[in-house]
Amino acid sequence: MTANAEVALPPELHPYDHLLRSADLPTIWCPGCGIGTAVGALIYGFEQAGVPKEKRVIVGGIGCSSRIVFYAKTDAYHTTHGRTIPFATGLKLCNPSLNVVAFAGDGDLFAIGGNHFIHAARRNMDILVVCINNFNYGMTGGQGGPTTPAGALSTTTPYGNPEFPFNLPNLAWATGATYVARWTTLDVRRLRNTFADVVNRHGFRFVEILTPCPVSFGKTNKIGSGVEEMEYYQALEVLKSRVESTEITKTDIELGKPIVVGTFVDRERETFRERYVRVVAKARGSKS
Amino acid sequence: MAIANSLQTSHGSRAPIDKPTRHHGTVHVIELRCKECNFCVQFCPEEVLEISDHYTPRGYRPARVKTGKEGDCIACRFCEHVCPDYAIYVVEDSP
Repeated sequence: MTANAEVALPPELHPYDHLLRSADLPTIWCPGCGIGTAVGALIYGFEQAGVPKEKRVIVGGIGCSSRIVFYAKTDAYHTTHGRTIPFATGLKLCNPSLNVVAFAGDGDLFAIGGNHFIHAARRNMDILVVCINNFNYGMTGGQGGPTTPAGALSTTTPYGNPEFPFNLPNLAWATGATYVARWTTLDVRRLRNTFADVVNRHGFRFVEILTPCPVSFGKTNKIGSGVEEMEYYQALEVLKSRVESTEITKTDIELGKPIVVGTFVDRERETFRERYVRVVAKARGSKS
Repeated sequence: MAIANSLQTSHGSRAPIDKPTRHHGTVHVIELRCKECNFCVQFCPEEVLEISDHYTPRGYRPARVKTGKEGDCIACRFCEHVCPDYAIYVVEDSP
């Protein structure tokens, strides 16, 4: 090729293209799904907080949301179902300089991985956990799960869900998370600012993102397409930040009832590693 | 009195103390990535966008700027932020 050879015009570039594996776009998610919005917010948060690219690690589990590992241009790991948090814990303890984000769905984090979640929060492990909550198992055909609202329809609860769901912010607060927030994908600006704020913090941080699932949850519950589910959020959202501990129990999600969103908890606790390093020093000191 | 005079324009009416700043932007759509989810069309505060009437090779009708609304984008970038497929972005025009 000579220096004068005709140079092909550069392809149209989105401002995020250098942070994405853009050759694989558009994403595999259904039209109207909000996971892509959440992924964009997370990579914006990394960029805005100034986390070096080689220090960013995203761990995904199994499910729609875990496809993030194929689109975010960072070190990313696709782990087995429910083992997102154990994998992230190991990464963070081996190399504490990494900025580890566990990005998974509600089924992954709270059904099969429920125990990992509560114990990582109890230990105050130094990771950011992002839960994409679409109220059902979207990838496998819309089965009901631990976050399906009471009375909601799904393929396994065709006459209405008889169970009560988890209140995820309440669970995270009760088990010891240092930062708890809930947003919908419609609050994308607040979501982006939240990520920019929390990726550099310490302790167990939990962000729940309510995401439209037009093909499963939206369709079975007659909410409609992705846009109509976003309008549903728009109509029912109530912003309540820094709620008191007695108030966080009132953030349950029920069908057709107001959805409380906001930053609920922001507190300081010693992390697992800080305490562990002290114990190790003590043990070594007593031996010598 | 001097201050009062400085606020007078040549027409005699009072000039605004703050110069209103209105941002303008140009919307770019990467058509091959658009999956017709309608988020940008529905939530654009200035209703600048619409769904076009042609199909991409993937079978979706991409978003486009309404004819005659090209100058109405206020560069709030909500469409860019909410797009799940990174198919739309805004370049802010220099004032």
